[in-house]
Order: sequence, then C-alpha cells, then structure tokens
Amino acid sequence: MRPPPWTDTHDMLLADAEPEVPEASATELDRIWSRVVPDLQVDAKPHRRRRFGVRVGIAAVVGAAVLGGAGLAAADLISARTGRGPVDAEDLRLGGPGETLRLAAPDFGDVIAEETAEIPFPSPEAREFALRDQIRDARGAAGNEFVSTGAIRAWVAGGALCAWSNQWAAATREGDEPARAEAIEMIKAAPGWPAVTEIDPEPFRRWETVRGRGEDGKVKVGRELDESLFYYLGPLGEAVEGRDPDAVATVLSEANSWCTSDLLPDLPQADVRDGGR
Amino acid sequence: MARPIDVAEFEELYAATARDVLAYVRRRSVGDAEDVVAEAYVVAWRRRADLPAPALRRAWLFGVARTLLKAEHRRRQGESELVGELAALPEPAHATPGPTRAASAVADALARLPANDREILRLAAWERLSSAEIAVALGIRPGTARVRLYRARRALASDPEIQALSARVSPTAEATRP
Repeated sequence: MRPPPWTDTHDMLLADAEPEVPEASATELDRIWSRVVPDLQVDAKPHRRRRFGVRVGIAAVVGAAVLGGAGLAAADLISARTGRGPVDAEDLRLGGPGETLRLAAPDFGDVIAEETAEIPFPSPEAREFALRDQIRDARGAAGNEFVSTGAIRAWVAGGALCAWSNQWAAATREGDEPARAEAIEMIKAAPGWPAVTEIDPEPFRRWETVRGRGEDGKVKVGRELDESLFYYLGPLGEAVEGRDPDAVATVLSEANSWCTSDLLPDLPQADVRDGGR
Repeated sequence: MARPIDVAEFEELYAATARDVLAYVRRRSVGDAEDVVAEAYVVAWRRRADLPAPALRRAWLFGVARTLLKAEHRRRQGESELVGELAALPEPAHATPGPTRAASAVADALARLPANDREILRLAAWERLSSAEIAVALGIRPGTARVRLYRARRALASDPEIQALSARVSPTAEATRP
C-alpha cells in the first residue's frame, strides 16, 4: 500500500507542534554580540576551514563530499583534477574514494565524463542527461568546493539506474521483451558495478538502536533506520522481475535521488526531484 | 573568489539572523543558548571565507549551531551516546506549558521517526527553510535534501496517529501536494 500523501493539513499540524520560545530581547542580542566582538578584533585573517559535523550513513557521507578544502583563489583553477585523494580515513568516509576534483574548474564536465565512461547507460542521450545533472549541481560552486570521483561515479551510477529503469518501463509497456530483458540484466548486475562497489560494497538497510533524551528528560532507547547509498538495488532487482511500474517507481522514488523526468520519462511517478517541497 | 565580508558586514549579518539562530537553538536545547549562539558567530567569523551566498547564510548559521549543539551534547553524554542525539534532545523547558493534544501527538510521532527525518522536518516547518537552505544547513546536495524531505514527510504521514489526527482535523478530501 502506498503511503498517504503529504497535505496542507500535515503542514498545519507540524507547524502547530512548534515549541514556543521567548522572543530574543535586545539585551540578550547585545550580550551575545559582546561575546563575539573580541574575536572580530584579534582575528584578522580567515582561518583555514576544517570539516566538522558527524554524519551517519553512506548516503550522508556522499552528500558531504562537496564540502572541503582550504581557500583557493580563482586564478588557481587550472583543472578539476587535483591529483590528490582522501588525506585520512575520515576524509575517505566523509568524502568518498578517488581523486578530489574541483567543482568550479572549467574542465569539470570533461573530467567527470572521462571518470564515468565505463558506467553503462542505455543510450548516449541518457548519459548526457546524467552528466548534465552533475554539472548543473556544480554550477555556482566556489573555488574551495571539491567532490571526490568516487561520489561523482556513484551519483552517475544512480542516474544510469534511472535510465535502465526507464527502458524497463517502456519495454514492459510495449511488450519489447529483448529490451526488457536487457534492462533487467543491467539492473540486476548493478551491485557489481565498480562505481557502486567502490563506495557501497555491501549495501544495507537496517534498524539500529540509539539512545537519546525523551520529552521528560530521561534517557530512552529508540530505533533508527540506517541505509547505505545503494541499499535499494536488491528491492529494485526484485521489482523489475515483475511487470508493475508502480512497484519499480516506489523503490526509485523512495531511494534514488537522481531520477529526473529527463532520465525517466516513461515512469514519471518515480521523479521526486520536484516533490520534496 | 568573493571577497570575505568585513566587520561591518558581519555585524549586519548578525543583526539580520541572530534572533532566528537563538530561536533555533532554544527549540533544540535546554543548555545555555546564548553561549551556543555566540560560539556559532565566532566560528562564522573565522570561517567567513566559506560563507555561502547572502540568501543562504541564515541556513548556514543553523548548520554551524547544530554542529555546536551536537558537540555540546556529546560532551555531556559521552561519545557512546552520540548517534542521533541531536533530534532526540528534550523540548525547551520554556516551550508552551500546555501543548494541545494534537501538538503532543505530532511530537510523539516525530519522536518515533529516525533522527535525520525528524531534523529535516523541523528545519522545513519550524525554521521555514527551503530545500536549498536545508541542503546548506545539513551540508548535503540540494537534490538529496529534496529527496530526504520527501521521504521524511511520507514517513510522518504514514504514522497511524498522524493518519488518525489528519482524518479528524480534515475529514474531507483535500488537494494533496507531491
């Protein structure tokens, strides 16, 4: 059964549950500012940035990949290739494997096309759509924003899975059994694609026990769902064995963030890009 | 590369955002909110070369405050209790003394969600952040933020208590949004 849709009623209920907090007074704001001012005076130069924040799960780890790197003047941007990779285990965990690429470099598109050339797509047009998505996301990046080739390859692989799912949908609808069989074969082989195994060698989805404070201030034990980036490959492989487009769309819309209408015109119900807000 | 902002511009940023950052912290912590907010702006000043576009700076400051809250909570709780702790923090003591039954039911349903889902829903509903701003606050890509928000909303809407509550509040069919 499909989950109920989000409605304006849900928006209203959530807004009504917002805790009321006292409006900040001018005195409070002045008091806080007075504690900031000394640092403005002694700190003349910007500090090197350091990565902070702990993220749980490989999906979030990949998402963090665009952060990183110290300040870099625009004039230094020669190529997206930096020739360096993760500096330590944490960098690898947060940013993904492979070479660190400059998002704002003029050859970023060419470099990611080269890096993702072996990822199979059903057509050159689908590959171009997937790469264009990456380039569009990189547009406007500052000189100090980076991404790993491992993350890019994983995202493009996600796009390829959308495109193969589209071929599956069209072929299933039209009774084109060879095309349908090809799509099923490719989707079921995806867990072994290097672009997948490099970043998610053993996809998983599991509940984990966590501890936190409840509303009464007491420590409570709860459960939290933890998923790896490609956890959905198993369910997707099972869904394409059938002939229900909604079943495939549900798997993709819940798990794959790269399925745009360009990549999945024959399965529009799987496009969640514009559905988040 | 854009020129880092100067002291006068930073003061303008503080004036424009400090109220919201203080409210953000108070909704998530019973600790010293002023301390966290002051530290957030000190960090922001030190990292001023990394500030995003002006329209995204409020969200970026939420992200800085969130990280500081996590660090504070980690200090209090110990490393072993780090996972998912931020969104599980108690509501502020100065929250509405007598929340409505509906608000309590929504709070309970939120508490049953994974911590990441809970936080992204709060950012959207309580801090009024767009998907692009949520992405900045959480350090993820805009597309990922949209997908996570979509999934979190579906998860909350699927909660049996929320389904019952929604049916009571709005028994007739209404237009749905994707």
